Amino acid sequence: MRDTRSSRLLLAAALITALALIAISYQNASAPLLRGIRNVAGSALGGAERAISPVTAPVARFLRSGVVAAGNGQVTALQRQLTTLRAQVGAAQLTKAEYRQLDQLLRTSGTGGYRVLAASVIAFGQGFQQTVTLNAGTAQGVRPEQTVLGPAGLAGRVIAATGQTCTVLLASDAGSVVGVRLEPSGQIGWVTGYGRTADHAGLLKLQILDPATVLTPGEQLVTAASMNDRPFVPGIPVGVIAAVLNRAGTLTAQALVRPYADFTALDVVGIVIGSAGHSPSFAVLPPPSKARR
Amino acid sequence: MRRVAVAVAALAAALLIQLTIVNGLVLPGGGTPDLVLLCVIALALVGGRRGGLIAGFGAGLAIDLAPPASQLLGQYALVFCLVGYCCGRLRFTLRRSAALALAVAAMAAAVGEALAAGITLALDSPDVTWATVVQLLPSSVLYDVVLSPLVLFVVVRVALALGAGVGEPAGSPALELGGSAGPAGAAGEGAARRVGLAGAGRVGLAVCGSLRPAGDVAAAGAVGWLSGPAKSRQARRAQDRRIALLTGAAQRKGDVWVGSRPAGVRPADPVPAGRKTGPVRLNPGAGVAGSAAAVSRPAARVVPQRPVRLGLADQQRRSRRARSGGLIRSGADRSGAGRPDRDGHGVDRHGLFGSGVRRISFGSGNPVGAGRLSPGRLSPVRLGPGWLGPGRLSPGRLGPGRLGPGRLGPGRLSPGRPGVPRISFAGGSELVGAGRVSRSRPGIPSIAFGGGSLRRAGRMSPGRPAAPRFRSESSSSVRNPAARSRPRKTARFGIGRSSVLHLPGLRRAGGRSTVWRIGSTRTKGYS
Repeated sequence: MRDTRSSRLLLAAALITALALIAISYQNASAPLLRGIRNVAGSALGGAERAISPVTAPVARFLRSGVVAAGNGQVTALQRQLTTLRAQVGAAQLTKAEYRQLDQLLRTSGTGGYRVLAASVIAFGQGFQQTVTLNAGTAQGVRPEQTVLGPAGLAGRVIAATGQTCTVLLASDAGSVVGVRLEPSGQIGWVTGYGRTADHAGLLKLQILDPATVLTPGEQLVTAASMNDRPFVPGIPVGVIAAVLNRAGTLTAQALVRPYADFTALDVVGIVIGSAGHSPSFAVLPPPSKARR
Repeated sequence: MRRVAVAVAALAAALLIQLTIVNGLVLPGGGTPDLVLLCVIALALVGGRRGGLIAGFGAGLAIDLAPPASQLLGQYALVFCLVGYCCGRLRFTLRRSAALALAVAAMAAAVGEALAAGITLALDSPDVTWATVVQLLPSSVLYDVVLSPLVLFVVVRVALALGAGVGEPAGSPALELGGSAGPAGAAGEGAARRVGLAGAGRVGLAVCGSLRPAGDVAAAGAVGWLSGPAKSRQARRAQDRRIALLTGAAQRKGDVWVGSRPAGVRPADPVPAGRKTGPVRLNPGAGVAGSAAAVSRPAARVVPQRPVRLGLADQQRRSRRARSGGLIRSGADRSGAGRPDRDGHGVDRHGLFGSGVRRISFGSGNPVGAGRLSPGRLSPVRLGPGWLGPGRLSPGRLGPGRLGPGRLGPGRLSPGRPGVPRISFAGGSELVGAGRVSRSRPGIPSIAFGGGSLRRAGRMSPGRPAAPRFRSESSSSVRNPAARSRPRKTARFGIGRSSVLHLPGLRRAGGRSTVWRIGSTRTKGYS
């Protein structure tokens, strides 16, 4: 192009703008300017995602289930899934898969007495982040720092909400920290994710404050209580200890946790918009025999 | 405008598909392809620097803002605008060959993924660790590389369908020569016929200087690798010709493009048949240089020092015809054959058809002198040094009026039979002043090859006047048309016109001097 000079100027302007945005958001992610920009753009793009979700959601569901099943080598399961999904193509609203998840979700939340708003996953985060977008927003009463339930256990927490959509940080994200209690002992610790990695895939990392605690595989975890039930309402099942890590040289007892929720196959989730008057403690946990190890 | 809209729509579609479907996939290796990045790369390769820059910045910002995003604002905007700009600089590869363009796209995808991962690693260091990046990056890059040809192909096809070309923009080295090699009328009146093109923000795209595709997509799509592999030898030749014509380069060593045009390409600016005013410049693509060479045998005054090969695609046939029927036709024939687009010999009307016979002279000099000395109602047809021998004939050393084609007029040398074209190859000094006599016979075309400067000619022996210089460069550059078309003087460290060593405010290091630039629009293609 002949106007090399002007395109160079344009490049410089774009780089400076990008760096300035990075600097501003690095310093204070919730600066009013950024919040405004994110709100406007989030509403527009979230609206677009929500608008096309009836088309994309079945495709995504099919691809994900197909890929997952193929990865497990379960050809029959894949075929069954295929026929099921083919039958569901016409059904616009609630598919059977969704129904199954929703049913489980309602049972879980019903046991704990949570008031839950059901929502569907319509988009997934880019790059290394483990975030999803749900098709429910402030118009439905969703606010940031609310707990999100998967079909079987904790999924994450709401970190941002626009009018029609909200963004959920999954518990499997490396930046997510969930306060938990061990089931029998009531020991307090926290669970972090591993992010998008291939090893430790689908596992979380548990750290217990008391270094003297002896962890054994099979112990179950629930969320610990937070102030004003934000970000996590108490008593939500998180997972079960799968392996105890060597804790030489660490201040905390550490273990790998297999979560109840399958973060790679989230579809219908529930946003806890009102909690029970009392803490359900460990009542919501599945019976130990059914706990996956 | 329509292309901008389509580009925006493509980016939006890529973004939504990426967020709603692709990111949710669980693929082996843990990584996922980045459709938005691939789309930005392809758009930049089609749209150029500015388009790539704007598309990259916009798409990156959209990723930073679209709802599931939790990263710092501006991360992807930074990466994608860099990638878009660099791919825009590498746009010429799309025109060269498919493999090169695909390699560039794949490389850019890998670099973009690595950059994005690096920035994430630097800014989100507690959450994203080196181990994570090392695990995910290879598979992401692999998926991107696998998908990039597909995305590139689709984007290029859509861009072509919307009328964009994959040619070089005006001002690029290849097109500079292409501009001067285009039909003369267009070369004089704005060699770069710009066609507005794609990409956000007005990306100018000149389809091949002064040639434009006839009709629509067909010609542009027929250029290069987009038309697919040639099935037959003839098809391959035709493809080579098209590429050579559109890129302003020759297909073989020593070739000059004259003669019939490839199908589907016509001059952008047809010269009216009855036009008399002003010198008509003859240029390859519309020329009779080949015919001159074919008829040059009877003159036999000068044996060129090295074989002159005017590589007409069908040289044999043409020379046979020229021998038998006379390549330059008489006035009666001409009036009948003055159809706008073709004639019986595949020789373009620019040089031969009009109301009168034009003088055709190969020589150096300035057009002013040529016009003055030509017979009143016949305008001479000239092939200036800018076309014949770039760099060899340097008019800068000569007084512009001293050596003009008019003075080289061969009339004095050959009072011979009427109706027979006079062709003479002669050196400059010998012929000075000879043109005055030639005025006496209108209707007889005189063709003079006068080469060289006065000094050079004076040094030569009388028996060996300067030969026309159809220079061919070293064989290493033959396979690369654009490299051949670029005068090589200094080592250049960069791509396109500007060097990467160029810093604002400093003199360009390793750049070319303007003296050598042949056929730039500033000099109207003459020096």
